Amino acid sequence: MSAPASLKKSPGPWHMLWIRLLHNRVAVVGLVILVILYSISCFAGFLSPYEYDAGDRDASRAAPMVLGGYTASEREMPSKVRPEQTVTILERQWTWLEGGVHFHDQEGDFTLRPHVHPLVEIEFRDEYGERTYMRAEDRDISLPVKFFVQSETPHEVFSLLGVLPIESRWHLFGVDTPPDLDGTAHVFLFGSDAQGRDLLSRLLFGGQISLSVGLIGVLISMSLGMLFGGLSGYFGGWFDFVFQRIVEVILAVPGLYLIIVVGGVLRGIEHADGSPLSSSEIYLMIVMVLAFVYWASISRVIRGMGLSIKENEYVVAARACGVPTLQIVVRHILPNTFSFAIVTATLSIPYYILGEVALSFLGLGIQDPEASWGNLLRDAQETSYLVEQPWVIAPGFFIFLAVMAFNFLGDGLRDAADPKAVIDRRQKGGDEDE
Amino acid sequence: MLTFLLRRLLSLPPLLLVISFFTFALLHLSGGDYFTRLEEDPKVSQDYVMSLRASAGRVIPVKAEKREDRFGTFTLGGTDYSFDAAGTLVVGGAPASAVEFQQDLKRFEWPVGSGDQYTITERGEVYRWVGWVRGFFAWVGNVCVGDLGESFQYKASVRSVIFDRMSNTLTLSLIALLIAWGLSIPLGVWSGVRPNSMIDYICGGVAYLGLSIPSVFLALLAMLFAYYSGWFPVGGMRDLVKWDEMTFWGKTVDRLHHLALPASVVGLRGLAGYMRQMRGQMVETLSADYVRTARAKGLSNRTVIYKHALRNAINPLLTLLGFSIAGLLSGSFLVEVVMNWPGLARVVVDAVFARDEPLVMAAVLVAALMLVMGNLIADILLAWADPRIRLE
Repeated sequence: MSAPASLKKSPGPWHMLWIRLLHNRVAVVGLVILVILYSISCFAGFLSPYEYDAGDRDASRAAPMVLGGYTASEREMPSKVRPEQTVTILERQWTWLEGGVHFHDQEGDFTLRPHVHPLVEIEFRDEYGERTYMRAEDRDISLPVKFFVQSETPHEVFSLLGVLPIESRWHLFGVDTPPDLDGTAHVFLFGSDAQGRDLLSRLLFGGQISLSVGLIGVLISMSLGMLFGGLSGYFGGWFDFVFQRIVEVILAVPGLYLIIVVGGVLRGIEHADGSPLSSSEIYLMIVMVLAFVYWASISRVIRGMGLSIKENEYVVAARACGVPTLQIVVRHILPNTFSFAIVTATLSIPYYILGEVALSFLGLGIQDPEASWGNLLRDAQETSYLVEQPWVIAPGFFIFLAVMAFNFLGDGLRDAADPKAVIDRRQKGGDEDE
Repeated sequence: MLTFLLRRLLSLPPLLLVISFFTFALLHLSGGDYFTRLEEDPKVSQDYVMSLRASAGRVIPVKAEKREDRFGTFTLGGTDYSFDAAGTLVVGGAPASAVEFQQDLKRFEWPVGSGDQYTITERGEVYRWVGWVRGFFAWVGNVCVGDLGESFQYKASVRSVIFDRMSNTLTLSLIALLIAWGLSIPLGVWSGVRPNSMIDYICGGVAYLGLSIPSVFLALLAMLFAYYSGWFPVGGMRDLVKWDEMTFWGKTVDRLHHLALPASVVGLRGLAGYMRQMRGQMVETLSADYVRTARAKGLSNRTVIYKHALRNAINPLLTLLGFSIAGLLSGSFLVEVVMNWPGLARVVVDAVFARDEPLVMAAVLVAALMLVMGNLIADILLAWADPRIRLE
């Protein structure tokens, strides 16, 4: 049974697909971005310095500390700021009170030990002699920003959709605040919202929801689409007719309208005792709505493939051998649509992510205090809020990144699954698809 | 072709009927509507809410003279109720106020098991509840004669509410379409004629960006851009202060000024898609035999590209034109919300929140109609442009 060493086992079709995918630079970039995004949202509890719902109202509306710290809008500011108040004005519209992460010690020398100063409320008289309060840093106290700090209570550091949670006290970084501290001290790398919740933490936790909605939703509608599309394509007849009409109805309503109406109606659902839905039930509902809206187009394409595959000789042979119909569909027809299904799934995940964003952004999806990327963007709906605190659109950048990465990967998978099409395109003079 | 058209047009009414039916059912079966929220408000009397329900067709008033015959004596919760000839509620042989018996009379079924439900209000009015299936067919009947009903929130006809907003949305979408088509064809041809050149890579990059960037995010970026550059108004559709004093041309300029950013944001996605398509078609056509022949017989490069290649390459894009008509009402949805464009999007979202059912129904109907018609136009355009395609 020993084969000569020169005759290596030839790689299977999936292995070949994988190799071809790895040769596609753009697809690999997409894959790497996705792996990073998904792992940071799995480890959100560990990477984020705070819990997503932990707020400190005394530290609300902080600017990203990577930019410089707390802001005060113009009306909160005294018109004459004394230089020794350590207030720096970088922009005309805003005044940036110091309150960021500092790399300079008391003498003004550079240190590698970043630290924050606690914020205290200071009282002073403005030019009319009115008593005014302003937040400012207490420069006498320095609190180092440390790696691996422990929180008072254990929290989830790793979570895979709530499955397999690992609890611990560790945070990757944070500030140790002494209990007798006068004022508040936080490290808000991306700033904080109106309730004083850390935007970075909410962003990381929000990724858990926004990114998983795509995966679960696509899984549900793929299985629905493959089952119904496969059966309909294979059987034809009245089953096909009824099924096609249902698909037509779903496809005749613009996706966003359908999502909003169905989502909005389901929002009205309450428990029998009148209590509102819990956050996990809302999450499940969103996934269901998206899966319901998007399964139709998938199943229609699978049906078309089923129609053509069932004419192949091996299906005819299987039928001649007396293989039961369901087994033919499951064993012979569906596996041949797998590579296509994977490509379609990858390319349609962005629609689920964007669907969740749309729902939550409009207030029909994930509700506060829960965080998702769409829900976080709700803060940007208020124009005055948006222009004063432009960093609230940060989640949008992550959505963009995720969507782009899925497009990269999906295009790469399509080329890898169908190398002949790529060669055809190359011969025709272009390497671009479509 | 004619049979195809006829068949597609004939299948339209049943399709819309089914869509409306499911939307209607969805709105009704989830429990709670616009009026239940009103009822929770202690300042609003029950009689007023019931009269609103009656005008919305959700309940039908039972006339005073018919009450005695219809009900006879009925027993609810151990108490015997009846009506006298004048239609007044009688309990225990004497006229009584319905207020005291609201726990029984708020909503009851009579005869028990018949499915007919009635309400006797605090002031003694009697209403019969209309089942949602019957309500649906009443709605369909009204729609057939062109009456979309009256919006609960706005207390105005749905048609007047929607018409204004729809024209705003269409203005935005059409300008966006103009931008997308006006730029994508020249850019697509340009990069298609020079594949793998610098310009091709730049266009390809822009196309990828345009297809990947979420419209919400892009719209927010555009708002920030408008604010910090000061070149464009930050959201909205017109100058709120000076609009009334403006001349016609002033108004036109102001409207275009407000349109520029949202239309560009909406148009970018289309631009990216059409540009990629155009480029691909151009590359493919330029390698065709008849193009080689044209070159071989010494035609100028210009003639070859514009007379031979472009005319053939542009055909498949006609289908896309149909699809972009299909998306006219829904393509700009989120951009409208973010950039405060007073289009259909805001109205629909508000209506969904307020459970303003006639408005939601009408919006879904119109959007679906637009989509189906757009797809039909796409098919017709394709058949018209390519005689090899036979529609059947």
